[in-house]
Amino acid sequence: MSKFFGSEITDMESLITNTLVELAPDFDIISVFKPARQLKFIADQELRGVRDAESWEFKPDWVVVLKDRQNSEKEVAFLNVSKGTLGLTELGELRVMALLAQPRIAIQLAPLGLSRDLYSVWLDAEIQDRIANFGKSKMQVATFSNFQSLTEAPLLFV
Amino acid sequence: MEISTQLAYISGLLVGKGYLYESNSKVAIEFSHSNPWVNGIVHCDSCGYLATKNPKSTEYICKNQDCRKKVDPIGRSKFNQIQHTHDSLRDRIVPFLDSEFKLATKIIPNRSSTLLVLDFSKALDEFAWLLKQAAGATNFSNFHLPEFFKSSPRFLSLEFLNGVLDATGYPNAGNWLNRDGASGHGRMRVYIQIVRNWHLTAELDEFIRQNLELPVQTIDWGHPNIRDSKLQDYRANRHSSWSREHQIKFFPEYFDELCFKLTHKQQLFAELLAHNVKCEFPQDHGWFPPSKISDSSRKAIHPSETDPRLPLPVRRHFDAFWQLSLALGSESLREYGSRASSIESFGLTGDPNVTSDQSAIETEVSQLWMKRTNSLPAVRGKTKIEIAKPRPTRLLEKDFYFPIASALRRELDPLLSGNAQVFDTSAQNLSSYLRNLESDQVELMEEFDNLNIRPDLVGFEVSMPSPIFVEVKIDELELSHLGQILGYCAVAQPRRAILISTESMGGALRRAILKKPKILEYGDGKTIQIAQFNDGLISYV
Repeated sequence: MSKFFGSEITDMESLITNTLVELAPDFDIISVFKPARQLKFIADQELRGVRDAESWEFKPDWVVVLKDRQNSEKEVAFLNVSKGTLGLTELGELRVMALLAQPRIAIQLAPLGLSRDLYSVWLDAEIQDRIANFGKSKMQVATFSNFQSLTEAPLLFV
Repeated sequence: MEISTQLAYISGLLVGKGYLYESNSKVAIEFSHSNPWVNGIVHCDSCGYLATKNPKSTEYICKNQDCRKKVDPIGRSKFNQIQHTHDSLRDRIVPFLDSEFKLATKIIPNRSSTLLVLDFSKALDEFAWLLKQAAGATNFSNFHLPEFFKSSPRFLSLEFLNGVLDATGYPNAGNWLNRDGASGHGRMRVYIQIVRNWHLTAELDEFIRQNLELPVQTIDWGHPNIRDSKLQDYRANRHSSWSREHQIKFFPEYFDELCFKLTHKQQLFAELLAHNVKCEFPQDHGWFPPSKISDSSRKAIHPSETDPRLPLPVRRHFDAFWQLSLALGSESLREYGSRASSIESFGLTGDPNVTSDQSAIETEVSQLWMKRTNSLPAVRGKTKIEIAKPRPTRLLEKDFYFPIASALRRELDPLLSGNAQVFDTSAQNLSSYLRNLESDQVELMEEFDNLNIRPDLVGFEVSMPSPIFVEVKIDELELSHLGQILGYCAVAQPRRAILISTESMGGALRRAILKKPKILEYGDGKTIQIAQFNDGLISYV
């Protein structure tokens, strides 16, 4: 359970699953977990089937294993959750993981929103591309459409 | 193209607190609500006078000298700014814009502000007009008053000002002036808050007074002579306290043609206006024309008058707020002072009929400045004996900032001829190290500071505006350390970036770089350098 502003995200797993169903309609979601250690040490059977996962010496906040419905190939999605308002250093940390693992989807969830000036940076298409583009795809930043009632609010991609 | 009220309103929002993104035809407006709640006026339930909080307690006391009753503030109006902002955007502003344009809109809330993003992909003519009016500027820090509004019809000028007010206008019950009316006390004011934009402040004031013919009460400039005229903050080591926003203040009773679209602001505005009307204050014609500057209103010399963050026209001494407007090019002031022996003489005295020459006046007023400076009360010495806290046995990260800065300076400038400087951003406040930089480097560092980009050390070489970023660690370097500096570099694009530690590189980072060297890249072929600091030397890995 994550607590923000007195509201609680009671079921991160459902939130992530529902979001990924929308974002990756051609994939089945076969595993959602919060790793306690670096991914190379995680014994999750589904993750072990993802190419190169045994070399990943980092730990995102949440990992989703996806399976392509057409060719059954497994891929991952990463989701990091900011504890305060989102700043550049956290985006940099997700960028390093995304560059190394080339996930299908990489999301930085900012329940408290972006720091004030980061909005201006993030909305600039050119700068956003420099931070977010990791080759296979682009990192996404999400917040809540109504942060006073997180349990009811859908995710809002900035 | 015919300019609609909607486009005039967006233009006002943009100038007030907006960002313009040419590459993707978007506009974003930030609606600040640093405090979740904002309150209305407390009135005495017996006599109806203004009641204010006693600074020594939490009680509210009636300002009527014949009453002085304690007042319970429970009955005053109270607004949740976050909710009102969100609902006003959804129910009033977006439908208003939708009635004219095909815009895709997004409302993004935050704890301290709500962002409205407008996508003009299907309204490219209107976006092109906004770009033309912006004349190369990209956000509220550098916009000028759009050329169109210097001669626009009144209904469009008012709608432009409505936009400015919704974005950055504040009807605030606490911003009253200590004045008596025939039947009440405390004259309420509304202010437009302008962040970091000197020329826009002067231009908006001129626009309100000259184009709309409405009175401006005063301008509270974020200048050391205006904000800290007695050097109280400076002497208390708050050297940058003056460096905040500027405020254009006006009495609401003369602005009843205007209408906020944010409901909480409109209700507060109406409340302030009703209070002033009820108090029956005398007619006010605003600050223009200015009064002559008396000897007693000359100000002390402030050490920050030459701060590099001040734009050149105002990087000097001022005794009155309107002198800054003149320095920034106010046409109405130049015209008013045109009969004087010179515009400089008028600027020094406020007397449009002055006949003395500039140098004689300068000699006279500089003596008054010195006199005022010497008459400031002496700073009392510290009597408290501070006992040093015991130092931890292990050296801290910050203990290495100075030796690493020195080593990097030697590397950049082996002859130590002053061609390179390296600053510890944690040890010095921004203004102290900006003093040593060239103007384009100052602008860049201010921009980084606004974006909260604060690497541990920043280096500059003469004639090279782009800096060198250094992030210092005292542990084995890990992937997370690389991520921290990578975020800064992706935005700021420094000339060089160095991630340095007193320890060696950790295995995970080493393996990751070997496998994918691209993780060190941050644009245009530039890569972050990994280094180790040992025996006073930097060695690159």
